[in-house]
Amino acid sequence: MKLKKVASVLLALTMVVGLAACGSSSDGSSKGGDTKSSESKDSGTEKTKLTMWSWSPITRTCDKMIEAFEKENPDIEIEFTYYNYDPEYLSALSAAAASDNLPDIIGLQPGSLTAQYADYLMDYSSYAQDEWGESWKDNYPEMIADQIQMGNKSGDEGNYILPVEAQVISIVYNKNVFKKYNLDIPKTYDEFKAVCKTLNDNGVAPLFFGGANGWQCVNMFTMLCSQLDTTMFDKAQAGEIKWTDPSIVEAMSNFKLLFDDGIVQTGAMSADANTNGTPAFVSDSAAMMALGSWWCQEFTAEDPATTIADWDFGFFYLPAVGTAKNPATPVGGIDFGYGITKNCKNSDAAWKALKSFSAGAGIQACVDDVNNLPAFKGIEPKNDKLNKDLVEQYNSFSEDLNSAMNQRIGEPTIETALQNALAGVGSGELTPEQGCQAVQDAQDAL
Amino acid sequence: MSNKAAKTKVKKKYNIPGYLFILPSVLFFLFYILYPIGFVGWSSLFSWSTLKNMTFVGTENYIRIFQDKVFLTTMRNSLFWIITTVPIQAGIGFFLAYIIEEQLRKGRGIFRTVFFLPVVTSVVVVAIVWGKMLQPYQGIITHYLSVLGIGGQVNILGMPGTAIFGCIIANIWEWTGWSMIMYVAGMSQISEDMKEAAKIDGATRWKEIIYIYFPSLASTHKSLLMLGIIGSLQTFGLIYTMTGGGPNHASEMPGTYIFQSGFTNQQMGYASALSVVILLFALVLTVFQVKGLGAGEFMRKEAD
Repeated sequence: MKLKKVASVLLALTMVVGLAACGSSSDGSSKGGDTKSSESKDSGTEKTKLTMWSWSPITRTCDKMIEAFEKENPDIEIEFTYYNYDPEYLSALSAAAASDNLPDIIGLQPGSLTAQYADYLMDYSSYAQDEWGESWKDNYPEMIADQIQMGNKSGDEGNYILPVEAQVISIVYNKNVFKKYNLDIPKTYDEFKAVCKTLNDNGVAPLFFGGANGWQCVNMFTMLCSQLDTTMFDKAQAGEIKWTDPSIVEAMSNFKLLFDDGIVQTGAMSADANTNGTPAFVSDSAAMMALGSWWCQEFTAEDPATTIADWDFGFFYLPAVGTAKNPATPVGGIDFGYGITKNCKNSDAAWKALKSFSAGAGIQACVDDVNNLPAFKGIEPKNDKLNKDLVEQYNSFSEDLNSAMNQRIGEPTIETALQNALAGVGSGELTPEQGCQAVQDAQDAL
Repeated sequence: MSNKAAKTKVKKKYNIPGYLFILPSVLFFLFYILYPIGFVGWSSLFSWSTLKNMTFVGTENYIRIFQDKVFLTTMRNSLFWIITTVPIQAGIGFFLAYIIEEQLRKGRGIFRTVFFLPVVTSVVVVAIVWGKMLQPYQGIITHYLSVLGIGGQVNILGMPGTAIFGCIIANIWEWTGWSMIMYVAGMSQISEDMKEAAKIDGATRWKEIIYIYFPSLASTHKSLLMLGIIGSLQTFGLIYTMTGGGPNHASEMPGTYIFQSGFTNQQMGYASALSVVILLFALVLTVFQVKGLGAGEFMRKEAD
């Protein structure tokens, strides 16, 4: 009996102690973190530690990027945590911001994500000016530079996201499939339809469209907009024209044609681009996909499919669809950038890291991995192992970035509304007019 | 004075070790359940995306909910979900349990395990596999349907009218094993005397099911009903992975809509308000059930 009593008291004690430990652990760890960084400042021998969270670039490239930076700056060490973007990264940021535990550097998308965390981010303008002079934004293509302040509140001239990688969206095609059925890159809509008919007749998905992914729908839509007028998409976002404007409705109707005319595979609205599309695409059972410059990174993946290893892929801009007269122009934007949080105790070191990731050794490592395009002008891959065609395609994308139309949407509610409207139109639930009206309603409700 | 106070304390006989034992769960309840609910309720009165930019808007978020078509869709889908999954899962589960427990002579353990496997499989795995099977392009189900001559490529998850039912099918597959295990547990409680008495009275197998098994398992039915309703209001992973709530919100459920409003659209205030409404809805349903039908097996201990 005595033993039982002693045991139960011990058990209760361990529980209470355990709880107490849990309760104070968060304080303890943050204190620990502080002392560490201050110590390192004092002694000078210990490395400055920076914490960093992001979903991009992919880990294999990210490791190289950070390694390249640390090699140049042996006194700085980066502790990197990788997250999947949605939902892990978004919820981790949100929780960390709520508890004031944001790391020193965070990955950002231009527009809404940057705007959401602007209050927690440091304005890096003075650093950039010291580094590159007053007109530092000239280092980036115009559209990229414009996206830096895309989500800012009116009157806020701060710069929070430093662009790292950028992208251009286009149609990627599988050269093996095109060769097998004797097809040429379509120039007109009639040619496009004919190509897709041949492919459909042979049981190959013509343009594999991942309609279940909102980003696939919006990317396709922006390409269709660029065929009609390169300014209307931004005008609608800015409220200068309504989303129900005839030009937008026209683009929306052309979007519907992709489904009606068999340009995309049957049942496209429930397909996922990554899990259904890519496997079909690399195994020659899909001919085209609406992707973009980031497709290049497949080449540096470990153990790639043979089509990838031989680089049997090419790019072209979406041929004029429906009522459009011209093919799509380059459309693109910032893929991701980094920002320094106000939590950062050592912003000089953090800026060094950002500079390297955007314009120095860091981005060079990404470019050598052909991960996605460099946002900073004038950086080219220096990697002998890359396929020659691939490098040519990659550099031509970089060139096109200078004249590209913006693909980004500043307001997340509008983005969701547009994704839903396109899904509704694609699945035949909504007419193009109704779809546009739904987006306008969302805009009005803001 | 202090002596007196000490005496009255002794008189009240606080069972301090007892309270110490429930302390961990009380603390857990306070910090992990009550506080978040309170915080969500409070923050639903603000328009905010991070804690630094909260502006008070009063009941505006709540007014918006009742003008929101998507919210109605989520309610409609929840209703579909409840009226299809609960009876079908219970029905199939009941017969599986009956066959395994009462008719099989060998291999009960194996069958129980096999049918229970989906329940312990990660919901994301279930969703991905079912999503692939239901793919109109190269999906196995559409393949066999077209072999049977049922028209072209059936696009279940991509059509607004059918997307939710595609998810419901996967949900039924996943959770039927759970109903089965509940019934297996229930059936083991039915006394052999009753079954024998029925046999002596000449009951057929069918009558035995209707008059002995079915009524004896009343508390299991109620438990399953309650868990099914609460579960359907909490459904998230399956929908999020299979359709993302699409196309155009057609398969949206409360959980996915709250997530989208809060994290994707960055309207935490609205998402909080939605959570509060769903919570109230679930509470009302549960109270109604407990009052109307009794609490079911798992809350009945005191009555016995």
